[in-house]
Amino acid sequence: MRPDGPPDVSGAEMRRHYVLVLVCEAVVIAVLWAFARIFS
Amino acid sequence: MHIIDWAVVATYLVWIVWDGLRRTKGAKEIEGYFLANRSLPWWAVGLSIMATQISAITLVGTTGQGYADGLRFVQFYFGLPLAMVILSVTLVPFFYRARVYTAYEYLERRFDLKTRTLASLLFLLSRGLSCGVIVAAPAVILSIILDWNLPLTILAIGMPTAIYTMFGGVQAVTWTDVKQMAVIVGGLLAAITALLIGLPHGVGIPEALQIAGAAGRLDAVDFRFDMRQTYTFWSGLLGGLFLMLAYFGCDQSQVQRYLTAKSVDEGRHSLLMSAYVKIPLQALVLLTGVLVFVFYLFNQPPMLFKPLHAGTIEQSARAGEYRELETEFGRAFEARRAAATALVEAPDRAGRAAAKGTFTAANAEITRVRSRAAALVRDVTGDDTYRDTAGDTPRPDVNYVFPTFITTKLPIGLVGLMIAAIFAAAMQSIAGELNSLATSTVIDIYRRILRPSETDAHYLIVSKLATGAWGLFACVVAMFAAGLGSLIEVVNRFGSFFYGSLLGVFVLALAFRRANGAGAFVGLLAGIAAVAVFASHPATKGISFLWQNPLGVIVVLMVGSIVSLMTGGRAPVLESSKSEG
Repeated sequence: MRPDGPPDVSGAEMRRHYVLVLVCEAVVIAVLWAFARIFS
Repeated sequence: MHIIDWAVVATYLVWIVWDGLRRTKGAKEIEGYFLANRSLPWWAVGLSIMATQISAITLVGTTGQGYADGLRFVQFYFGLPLAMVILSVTLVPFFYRARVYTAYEYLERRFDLKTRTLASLLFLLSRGLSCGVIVAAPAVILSIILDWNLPLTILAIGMPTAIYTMFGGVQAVTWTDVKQMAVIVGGLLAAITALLIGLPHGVGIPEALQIAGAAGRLDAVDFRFDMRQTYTFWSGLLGGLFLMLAYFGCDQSQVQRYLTAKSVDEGRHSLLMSAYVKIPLQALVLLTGVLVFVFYLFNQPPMLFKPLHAGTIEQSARAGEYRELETEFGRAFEARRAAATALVEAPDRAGRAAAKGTFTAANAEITRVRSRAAALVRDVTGDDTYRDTAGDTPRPDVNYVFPTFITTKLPIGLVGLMIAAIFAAAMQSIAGELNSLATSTVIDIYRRILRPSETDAHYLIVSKLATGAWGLFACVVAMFAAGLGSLIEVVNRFGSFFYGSLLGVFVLALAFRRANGAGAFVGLLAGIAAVAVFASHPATKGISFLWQNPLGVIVVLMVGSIVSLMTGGRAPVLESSKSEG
């Protein structure tokens, strides 16, 4: 990485991002699934 | 097209080219030209990553898919968020710390020159041809729908893109991508608004969704495990995961985007942006198509959307039969409209169940008439593409649904905005590809093999020439590809042959410390051969192409590790001293 770049976020914060991505995906898939059930 | 729409399209083109050309001051040396001196913010890079994926054919094809088959297509992207997380943990930091220009440069540091060169040549061949297809596909659709001259349409899409990419480099690509994404999303939202306004009195968003649900258009998630189906939860999540890993981790057109970010974490954030946004964005594009379907329940659509063969049918001996089918289609449309209205107005659950049955039968009748029309077109013209269907729509019609709606149903001004959005989608993906093709040509081939000791100024000139040459090449390929449907398929299939295998080489590099250049090179060739056999063998060719990617990875890992062990394992060479870059 560049020495003059912004400071890196901590590993723990990055891991929180990764978990949040996967949780959001699960929620979106659940919403899409529920969407079809509600309107079918 | 009205003169105001022409003005909107012309304004868009002038604005984008001007915006791209004013970025030339950031491209005074080769690192600035190809990597923006690794200075871009994560959000701009993230938008550019998404922009490179959304080609014009994605925009019109995905809305058409939504019309024909509902939201099912969204499952194709279920592997993407997980792929982004895996890449953020593994390949992204490797690429950053290696300070490479191309993904393939890393392969030389880890393995040898021949593996790097083979990977680079495969990318150049596949992406060079597919860039021509990306120019050709929207040009063909726009020329048919709007009766434009095809070669001029190809040049109108390809040349402005090549010019601003050639002079402005990656800065021009990224910052025009940001604006082009705004044009596309703005255009889609305007189209959705127009669609909802165009629905009859008493049919609002809940009623439209109720009808779409009754037609099965909202079935987004299919949990069946069937490897022959591309659009299921498991194919998308597992098969799609490998495709997305290969695309975002090994394809220079994507890797180069996040190498322009300020730091490794900004690069990671740019990828995670796609992880958050891609599935909802694809769902929005598909939902637009679903709303077009609902719109055409109350406004009569053409029996077949692709108008190319209308003249041939009209002059054939079966013209009378086709006109009778059109009359039959009109009656079936009226019956379906009445059934849709009854469904919306049903007072209770029992009434809705009865109305849904009537509506389903009426919709099936429309499908039956369309199938007969498609068979007639196939018989008269010999166009075998009418044999396939997407959902309940003849396959060739899918890409013409949304452009037909745009040009015949949208108000003046909005037509121009949507045509500009189609141009934007085409140009943003072409620009990203031209830039990455030039990078790999100059960094992996010209600077590494042909002329290794020239000045930075020399490489900068060659880079601009290479960008222009690839732009010209894409336009020439587009001229030929436009008339050859099967060639387009061959080009797309060629890319899928080596994607998984290329990913396998990177996994081999990271996961097997004893893997060497001989193992990687032979493994890559074996992986490509295995996928080619798998894709064409009668017993396996029905399996969805998404599963070719995991196969390629497995074959490369097996053959690569065995050959590495047989040839003495990894040579004890310091990684940082092996490549000139």
